[in-house]
Amino acid sequence: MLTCKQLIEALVDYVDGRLSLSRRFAVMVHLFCCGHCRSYLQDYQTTIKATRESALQVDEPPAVEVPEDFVQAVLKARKDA
Amino acid sequence: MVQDIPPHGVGLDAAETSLLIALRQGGEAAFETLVRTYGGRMLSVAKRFFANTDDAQDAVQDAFLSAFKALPTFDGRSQLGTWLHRIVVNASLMKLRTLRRHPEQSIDHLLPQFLEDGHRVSPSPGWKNSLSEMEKVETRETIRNQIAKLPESYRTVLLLRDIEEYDTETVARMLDLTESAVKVRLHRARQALRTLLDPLFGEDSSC
Repeated sequence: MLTCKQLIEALVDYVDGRLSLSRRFAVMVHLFCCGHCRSYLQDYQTTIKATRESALQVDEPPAVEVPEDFVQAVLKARKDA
Repeated sequence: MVQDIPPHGVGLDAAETSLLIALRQGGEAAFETLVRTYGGRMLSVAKRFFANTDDAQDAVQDAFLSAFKALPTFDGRSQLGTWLHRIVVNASLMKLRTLRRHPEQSIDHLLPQFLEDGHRVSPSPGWKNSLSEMEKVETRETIRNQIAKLPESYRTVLLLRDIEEYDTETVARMLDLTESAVKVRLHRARQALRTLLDPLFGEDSSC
């Protein structure tokens, strides 16, 4: 059976669905037996979701203001280019 | 060669089509509209990549200049915002390459530690309320602040994979790394961020 260290090392490929069938089965067996690793996997997946969600909010107007001096700087740079 | 603008509904809506026509005619007002409409979103994208706002503004300015030059070849099959988004990500990566690199802080202390038999040293209890917490604006702000604490080489890979959703092969090409190096950095970045988010989502969280 995989150790917890081997299990955690395999997570990056596991969540991407990139493990071979035999390796995937070994991961699933370990997860079935180890509550700590099940929790870690859940947190790992939540971390990915949290990263994604953190970006969604700032993309929504009107959360993002364009500073006036920045607008003028870009227009000037275009003229100077 | 100037690309034809496709009919509405292919990539651009009516307002974007009108704006693109005005941009190609060189109207100053059209360029100002473009900067005012998309500049804020582009700044927020660039700010994820940089520790300071000046560098982010430089990257967005570079992105607009690239976009102005590329307007004749923009085929209009994606939305203007999507096209500009791709350009600002590339401009941010270019800008990062020009910045002087400082030695990065180790993140080893944020990674799980293991005993000789492969068991984890003092595993923490799993998160319970993370999904409901994530809907709060202040939680998202905290997550952004924690991502910003990651060293640049880890943060960049995390942003490209988990926010921009490029695949490993593409990120490897963009950063001139091996796929294996991308996976190692991504995995370490996610693990370090998991530790940084523990006070927010863990059992002892006061949020």
